[in-house]
Amino acid sequence: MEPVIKINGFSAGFSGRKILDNINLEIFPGEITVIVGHSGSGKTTLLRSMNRLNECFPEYYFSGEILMNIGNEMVDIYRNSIEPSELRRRMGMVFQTPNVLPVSIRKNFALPMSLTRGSKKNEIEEKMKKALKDVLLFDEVKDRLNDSAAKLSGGQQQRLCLARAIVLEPDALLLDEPTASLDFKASKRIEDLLMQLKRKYTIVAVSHRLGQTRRIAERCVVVREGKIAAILDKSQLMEADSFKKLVEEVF
Amino acid sequence: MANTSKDRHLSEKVLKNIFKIAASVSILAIFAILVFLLYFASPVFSLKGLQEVFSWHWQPFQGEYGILPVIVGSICLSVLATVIAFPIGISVSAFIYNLAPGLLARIVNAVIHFMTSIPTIVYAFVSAMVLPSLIRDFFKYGSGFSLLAATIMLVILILPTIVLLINATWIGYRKSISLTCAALGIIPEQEVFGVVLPISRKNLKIAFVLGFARAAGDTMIALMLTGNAPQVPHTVLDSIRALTAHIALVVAVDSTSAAYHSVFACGLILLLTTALMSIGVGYLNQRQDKGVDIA
Repeated sequence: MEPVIKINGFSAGFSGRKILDNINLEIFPGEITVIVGHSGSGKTTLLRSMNRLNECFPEYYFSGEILMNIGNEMVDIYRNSIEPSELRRRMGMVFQTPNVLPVSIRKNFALPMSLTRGSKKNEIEEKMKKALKDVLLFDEVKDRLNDSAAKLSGGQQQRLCLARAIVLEPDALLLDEPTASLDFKASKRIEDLLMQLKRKYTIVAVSHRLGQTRRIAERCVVVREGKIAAILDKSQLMEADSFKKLVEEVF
Repeated sequence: MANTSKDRHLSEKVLKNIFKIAASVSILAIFAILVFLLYFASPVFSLKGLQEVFSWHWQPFQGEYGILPVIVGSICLSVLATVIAFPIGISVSAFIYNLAPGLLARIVNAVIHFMTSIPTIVYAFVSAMVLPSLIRDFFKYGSGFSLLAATIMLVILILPTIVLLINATWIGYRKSISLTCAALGIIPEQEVFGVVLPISRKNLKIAFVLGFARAAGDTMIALMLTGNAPQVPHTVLDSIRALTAHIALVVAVDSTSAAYHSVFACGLILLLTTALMSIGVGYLNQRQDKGVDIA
């Protein structure tokens, strides 16, 4: 299987402080890759390297390359071959804390769709409903699409953020601890959802929960002090000994 | 531990009461001004008085005290200044928000803050020395002391008010939505004009009204640049007289005649205009809060 994202000798940091050190990693399509590690180990910086979001922060620097399969061609995303805005649209991102825009549920879809895709009203309505159905939220919000998105519960807001990323028709989903701020029930729901969505999208997620990692990951990347300490596949995750080693590594 | 909690409770209670007293004094002061204006304008509140005041001729020596040209002059001046300053204010705010490079944005922001500290008399005095002669020479029309001269300076005067009010809201957005927009593939220009602008409609309305109130309430620029001719302007190059300047001019030389009483009617009109605009914006924003008109 060919990788969709290939990271070669990638190092990065802020204000002269190195966060990532010589990362080499391949992400494969149709899989959920979960990045785990201590707080401050560089998980989020690694995730945000894949959509160039680190550049939104001051004094960011990097070296190395990240290749991404765009139109059956491996493109270096840092070498001006693709606009950062187009790259970010293709790499739908969901943050740790739900980040709905302070507008209605409908406008949370309409604004990004019209601005990035030039979508018109009918297309927005149709795709919004489909995305809301994909994240199993449509039935809960169908009668209040013009209400403020901020009025939804944490779990509903996070599913809305996921639907908003999906509606922009991304190639992959980058999820930064998407269940960290949710209770068990809402987390379980998002997990089930990811298992369904992985058929359509390549998913890279950061997680603090090892139990969750074990349930959803096909591949688990352990990051320690900015370096990749280990990469475990599904069978290794399921095996008691290697999982115990992973727990010791992370905690 | 119990003492600390008790002390905090007490200080919270004291602060709450101080705020309550401050709010009550402010409301009472506004109400007292309204009563004061109504009392002194009361001689005008008769059919004859109203006919005299709400007429088109201000010729006090002939016994004509019409303030309608002054009202029209004031409306033209404040509406024109606000309508020009508002889009400029939005553009400057957008520039500071995310369109300018960091250092330039900080410099522009510092200049806008500095502009708020310049006394109006300085603006009025300097511009009275320069602007009318420039307008006169350029257009070859009139004295230069005109609606145009006063509008230009009022735009500069109210611009910082508008920009600072808009920025106060947008600074919060920069923290909360900039990263979200970037992650969705929205570029900075789209963020400010396509997302931030529509979602801050409520605050934009407030910035517009307060900008208008500042323009309508300014006296020095109106006094020193309009030419103070109580007439309905036909072009922006004509002289006008604004309500504020009218009050200052009449009160400076008179304290007994019907003209003197008419200035209280002018004050009342100014107060009611800004009050009604504030109430109108409050109503519209309440509708938005209830979700009738959510962004």
